[in-house]
Amino acid sequence: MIDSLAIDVQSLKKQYRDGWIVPRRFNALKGIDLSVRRGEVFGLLGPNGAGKTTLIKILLGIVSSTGGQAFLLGEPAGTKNARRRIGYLPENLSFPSHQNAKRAMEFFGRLSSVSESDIKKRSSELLELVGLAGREKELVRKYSKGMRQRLGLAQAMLHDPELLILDEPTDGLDPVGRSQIRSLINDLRNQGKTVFLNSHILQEVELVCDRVAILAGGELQGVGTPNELTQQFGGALDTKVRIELAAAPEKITRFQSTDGIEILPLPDSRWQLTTAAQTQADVDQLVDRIRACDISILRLDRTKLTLEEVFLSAVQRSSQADQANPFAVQSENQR
Amino acid sequence: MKPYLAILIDSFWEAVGNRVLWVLLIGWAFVLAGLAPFGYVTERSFKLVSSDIDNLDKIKEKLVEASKGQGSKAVQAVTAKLSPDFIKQLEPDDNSETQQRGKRRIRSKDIAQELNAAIEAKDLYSIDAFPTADKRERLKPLIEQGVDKLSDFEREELNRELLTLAFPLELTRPRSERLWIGYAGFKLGEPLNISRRQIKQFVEPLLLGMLIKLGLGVVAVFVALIVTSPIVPETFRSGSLHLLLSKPISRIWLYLFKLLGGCVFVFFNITFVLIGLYLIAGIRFDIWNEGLLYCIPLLLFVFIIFYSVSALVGLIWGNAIVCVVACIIFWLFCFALGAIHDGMQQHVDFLPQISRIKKIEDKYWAVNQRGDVSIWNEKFSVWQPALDNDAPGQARTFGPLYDDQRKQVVVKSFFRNPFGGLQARSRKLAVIRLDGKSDQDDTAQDQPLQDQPDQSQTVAINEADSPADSNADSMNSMNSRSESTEPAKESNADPQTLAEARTTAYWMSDIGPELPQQLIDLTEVGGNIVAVCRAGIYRLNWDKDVGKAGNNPLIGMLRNWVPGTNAFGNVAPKEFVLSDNTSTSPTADGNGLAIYNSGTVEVLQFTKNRFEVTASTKIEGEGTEPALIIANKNFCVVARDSLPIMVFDANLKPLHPEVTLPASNNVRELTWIPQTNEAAIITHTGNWFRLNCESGEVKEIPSKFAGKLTAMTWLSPTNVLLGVKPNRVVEYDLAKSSIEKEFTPAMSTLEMVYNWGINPVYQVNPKPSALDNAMGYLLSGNSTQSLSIVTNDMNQAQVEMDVWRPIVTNLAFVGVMLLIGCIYVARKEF
Repeated sequence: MIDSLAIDVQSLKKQYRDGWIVPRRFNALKGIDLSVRRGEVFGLLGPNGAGKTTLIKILLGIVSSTGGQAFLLGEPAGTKNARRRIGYLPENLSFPSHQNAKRAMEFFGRLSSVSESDIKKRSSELLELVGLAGREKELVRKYSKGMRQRLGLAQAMLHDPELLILDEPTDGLDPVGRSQIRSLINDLRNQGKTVFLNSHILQEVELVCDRVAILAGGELQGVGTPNELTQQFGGALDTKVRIELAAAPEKITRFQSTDGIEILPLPDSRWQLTTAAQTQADVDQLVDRIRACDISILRLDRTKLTLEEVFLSAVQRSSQADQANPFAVQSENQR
Repeated sequence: MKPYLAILIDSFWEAVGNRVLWVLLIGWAFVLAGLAPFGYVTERSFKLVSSDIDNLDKIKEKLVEASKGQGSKAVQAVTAKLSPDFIKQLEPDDNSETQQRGKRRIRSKDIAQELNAAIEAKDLYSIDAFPTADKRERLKPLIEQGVDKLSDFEREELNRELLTLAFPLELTRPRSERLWIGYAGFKLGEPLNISRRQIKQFVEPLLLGMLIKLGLGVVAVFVALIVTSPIVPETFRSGSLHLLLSKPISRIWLYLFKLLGGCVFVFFNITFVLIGLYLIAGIRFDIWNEGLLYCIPLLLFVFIIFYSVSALVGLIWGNAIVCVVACIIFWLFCFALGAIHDGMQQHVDFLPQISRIKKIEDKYWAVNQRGDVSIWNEKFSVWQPALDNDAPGQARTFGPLYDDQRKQVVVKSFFRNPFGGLQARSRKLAVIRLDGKSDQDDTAQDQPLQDQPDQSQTVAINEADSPADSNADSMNSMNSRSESTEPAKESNADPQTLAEARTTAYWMSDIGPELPQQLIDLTEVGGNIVAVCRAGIYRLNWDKDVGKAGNNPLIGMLRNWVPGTNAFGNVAPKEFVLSDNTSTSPTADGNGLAIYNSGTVEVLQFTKNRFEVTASTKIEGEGTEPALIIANKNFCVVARDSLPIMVFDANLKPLHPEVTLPASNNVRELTWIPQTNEAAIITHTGNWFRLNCESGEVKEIPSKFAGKLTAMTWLSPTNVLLGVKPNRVVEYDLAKSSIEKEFTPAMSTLEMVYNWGINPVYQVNPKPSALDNAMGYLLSGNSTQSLSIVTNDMNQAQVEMDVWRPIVTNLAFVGVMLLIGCIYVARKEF
């Protein structure tokens, strides 16, 4: 356990049992190691059933781990002391139907032992910040999903926590709302808060997160900045080269005999060549060959891997590994 | 603590946000507003109302006789004040049917109105018409004052008392206050025929009890369950739960405080209604019963029992509808078990209780709460029926009384209705001849038991005509009532099996002389059988015409008993009339009677073939309280219902006017310990005390049967036969503190099922409905409760209200439910 870490997870395992008569066991987490530094915005990516929510539940003490350790802000995960210092926005948040925004803020503020004066002061500030000012006396049951999400975010920040765990924070929000949330997260980072973000919207993660972890099949597939991940996964993947050519069809026919090269016709005796080139040497060699055939190169593009492609690649790799064990991954919704 | 208070407050607001609550509160407000205008309307008056007419026909008859110059002078004086037209209407008309039809039917209301003219009359009293009036305690001061000088109210009082002298059995006791149930100051219906005390006795445990039990205990609790059932499932729904669990709070306390929040809401509701009821009962009926307020936590507790089930179900299944359904199933289970238990308890624990024990010759006789007279069968260890009981259902049995000279036992059972009234198929005494002889051997011996005529009709014991009045009455009543023809007695009891021993009557009873009407008590004074009735005290004279069996021409071929109407001769002092609320006992010397008669205590001695009053006193109180009385040559003890015991000296001067028993126990049986000045007392809670009449000190008599005693018969100063619950009798030696003999009957199948099956399950099972006992205790202050609506017999066993056990078992149940809930919450991975 290192003090500078906001989240420190070591060999964390979680096995669920299901069924009364013949209990079925499945591993939601298969011994993951993860550390989130203080003051960074950390994104957790993973498909459904990857173990993301299980990991968050263990961090919050909602479920217990079956192996390994987890620490939050230097405290064992799940303890009251740890929970006192974190703010949490759950996925599919619902508020008691009798509450309005003001009463909900008071209620959750009191649960976090915030003083009455602080509750009063901070709740109006935060409701203003999330765009709910003036609607605090409306019953929450009349709110849209996006409004509830904003309220959830406000309550998570009410007691000024050092660490915020946000599970799908932009779920249900319109593009403007998403942008506001992104801006809010950036502000939190600037204030030195740690944000642990769990989201399906990869572009968003890519935009706001300092570092990202990909979890799939209960195992951590990779951790790093988006660039690091691209490089890490790009090294293993085919890099595509797209070249626009100008030449007579006979020259193109002669050149196409090479395996693995796809050439599609374009208007005005132009052609588009697409092929894989893992290294710069491969690209150089390809250009030499084109020129050798007296074909003009009008344009050349090398495609960079997106986080989404990296994510999909990681998930694919994980599912191929898990095919040998059908019980290894199950939808979390089934639990 | 602050987070948990937040949960509590939030749960409360959650319940407040429910519309059902508002409907409920508005409903209750309407109920309370509707009840608030109810109240008493009182009027100071001695005037009669229809409910004061006890025997309409007899009054009519007396008035008609008096109008012809016959009958008593008192009635003639009253008749003189009535309108001639009215008297004419009373006269039976022999003319044609059309004339009869034109005649208006005279009802009690008409008679009451007409007699009120006599009550208002200024000159009703004359010494000639009412020669004994100036000797009466109540009338003496009024007459001495001078009739002309009396105020209108005093004159009404005098005239009402004079009417009582003219119609002693036909009118009720005079009352100075008329009481109506009113609504917003308006009188509703007829004046009440019961006193404020009786209303209080009725309203508190029954009316208020019913309103609370049904209105709050059932309806309100279930509405509250519907309102609060979503609280726990909503809380433990994943969307809101994960957020709650992320806060620095304990999940067990979260669960408990959520539960408590629902309870706080119900507490406010119940408090609102009960304080409303308390104020209405206090302001409008003058019943300031703090018990109503104590019912608030009790009702809350009833709710908590069900809510603990609802919360646990909500926790596991997370569905409010399932919670309500589970509560209903739980309630039905408890109700069914409670109903089975209570039904069986009545037959196993309550009705078999021995209420009287007698040792006659070498046999032990017992009368149980059902009214069955039994004899101990040594061979099968069982109480064998002594005779065929003709009372359908629960009966009040007089006797058994033993006529030593004739070697016969007399006994009589009357069916007891919930209002305290007694009824029987006939008023004839059952006679058991221990020597095997019979007066009817030659005529009725061969009559089989099955050949009895239809006995389905019953006659009320409270009919007003006295046997001394006319033979014709008796004959007429026989015609109309299909009186029974019973077989000759025969000792046939030799059962071969235990089952036979339980059911075969040991003796077949002879039918004896007909009892006088309006019987109050049947007792033995100086070797004579004495019937104390409203119209007087009658001594049974066997030597007179006590009846012969024979053919009764009036009812054709049926052999019937021709009643000996002179068998019971009136031996009461002159103009001696008793009220319904009378209790008697023979004095310890065996030659007198102690009588408590609606607040008046009298000691009578039997001299020169007639009873004479030797001492009399009026004791404070309404006079409507039932009482037990005993007297010996030095003391007289009176124990009234729910009042302190009073000890008087031989002249009925109060010596110890306020002797109280521990824990406000009510007296069930009161008797002298032979050759002492100590009274032995058994309470309705089954405890045993001795009261030293000299010092007024009460001491518990130590025995291992404390809390189980039902009856006692003293054989000597140290030897006593004790009835022990449910149907044991022991002969107990006080000096040695040892049991000399013991009569414990073998258990029947029903008893075995109850004792080893139903009762143990019931005891450990939660009993929400059994909290009614605690509620009854809080409302009435009594730990026992009479089964009759109107209590007029202190000997009648009362149900002991099990106040604490249901509280303990229900508490344990709630504890277990909460514990399971807490363990579940703590271990569950949401």
